[in-house]
Amino acid sequence: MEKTARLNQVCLPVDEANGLPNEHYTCPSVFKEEKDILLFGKWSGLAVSAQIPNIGDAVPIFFQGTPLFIIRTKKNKVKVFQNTCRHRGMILIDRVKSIEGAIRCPYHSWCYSTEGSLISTPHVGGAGRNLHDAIDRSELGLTEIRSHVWMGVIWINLSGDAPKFEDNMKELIDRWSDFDRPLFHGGKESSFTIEVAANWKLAVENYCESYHLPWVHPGLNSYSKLEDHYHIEHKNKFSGQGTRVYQQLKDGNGNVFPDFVDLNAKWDTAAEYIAVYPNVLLGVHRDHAFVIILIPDGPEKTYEHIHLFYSKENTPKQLRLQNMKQWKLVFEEDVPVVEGMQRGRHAVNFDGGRFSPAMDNPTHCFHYWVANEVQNGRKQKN
Amino acid sequence: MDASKKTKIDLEEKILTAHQNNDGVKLAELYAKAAYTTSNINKACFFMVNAYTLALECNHPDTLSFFQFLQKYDREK
Repeated sequence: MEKTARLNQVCLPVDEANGLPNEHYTCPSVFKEEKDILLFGKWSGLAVSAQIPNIGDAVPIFFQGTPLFIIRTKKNKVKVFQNTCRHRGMILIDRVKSIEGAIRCPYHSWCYSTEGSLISTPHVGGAGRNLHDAIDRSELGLTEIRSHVWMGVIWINLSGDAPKFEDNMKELIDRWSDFDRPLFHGGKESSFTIEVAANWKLAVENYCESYHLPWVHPGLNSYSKLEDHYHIEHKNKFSGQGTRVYQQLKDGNGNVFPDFVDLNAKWDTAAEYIAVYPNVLLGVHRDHAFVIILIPDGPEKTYEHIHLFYSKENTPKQLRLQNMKQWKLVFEEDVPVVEGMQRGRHAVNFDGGRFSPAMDNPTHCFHYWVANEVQNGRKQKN
Repeated sequence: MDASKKTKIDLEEKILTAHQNNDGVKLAELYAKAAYTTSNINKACFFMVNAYTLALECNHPDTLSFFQFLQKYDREK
């Protein structure tokens, strides 16, 4: 079956559809195609703003091979720039650092403000001369990447032509308006990274369905049973699952994390877990939230950067550690199945698989989005 | 060796040491000193460009005066 027909098959209703073909998980050229269409062309998660808490903090990040850096500017704004000097393309920020004054290129020392303006060009007009008629500094500022901060995540649109973030994500922003307030990162005790030998999409697919919970997360299933979950689907934007029986974590003395204030009563026992396409997995609860940013590193390797947030600063450290341990266990339980599905994608006769029409709807919602976007991207290219 | 030559060598050594130590504040101050102690305007501007650049990076309190020095000779704006 040719490529278009196979993707048409994915876009059929869930009870007739097949999953994405193997090449979407294993093939370098499809990986590159998806990088341009799904990751660079949309609003992707890059990092969390808590990584740059202080003015001048700068962190270099490679996103799909593209050198970027995030910075908290002197005006206390979070910005994202391409990490290259406008002179010779030298990498500007080579390690996590605090910028006290200007960003100085380590090669010929062109200097940029934290806002991205080119402010000095040493010796550009000859020794001892910082000026030359051909060098118009106003045209040579750093290349800024479109960015937006929401739910503590720094989202970027590398292609620069996606709809405004607030418009694009309106439905989810409205759905979770109760959590649209300052989130406090739990610090060192609240972030960790898991390396997975699998395509990034399998991490999304596994995250957004509850079907696997009884088998892969038996500990969770003891109180959060399959029948307590519901699907969340918003075509072309996000999908996931919710539970009606969230129980707060308690320490040995019965202490819990403080709740976010003014929450709807629904959240007394509900929690929701949503995959925001393409690469951000979010979870919200009455007393904490988490984000997982998936950073693909080739077709068959993904880094999952996990961060936990709370309603207040200075929550009890031991409780934060307990919470991190609990979530780490859950996310690590997913690794063997995600990696197992990746290995399965090398089976030449695997046809993408059939979905459970009752349980796999959020996963199919994601497959539909991928197939549809890739088809549209290919049409635009041809 | 005459005194001015010795001072120049001392300054060069201090600049090299500051480079090795990656000490931007010290470097900015030493380059500025080199600029202020030469009567040759082109040489002075060369040193002052370096002083100003490093001062910009480390947010040195004398950044503005270094800038004004270069501006006076149409080397910066």
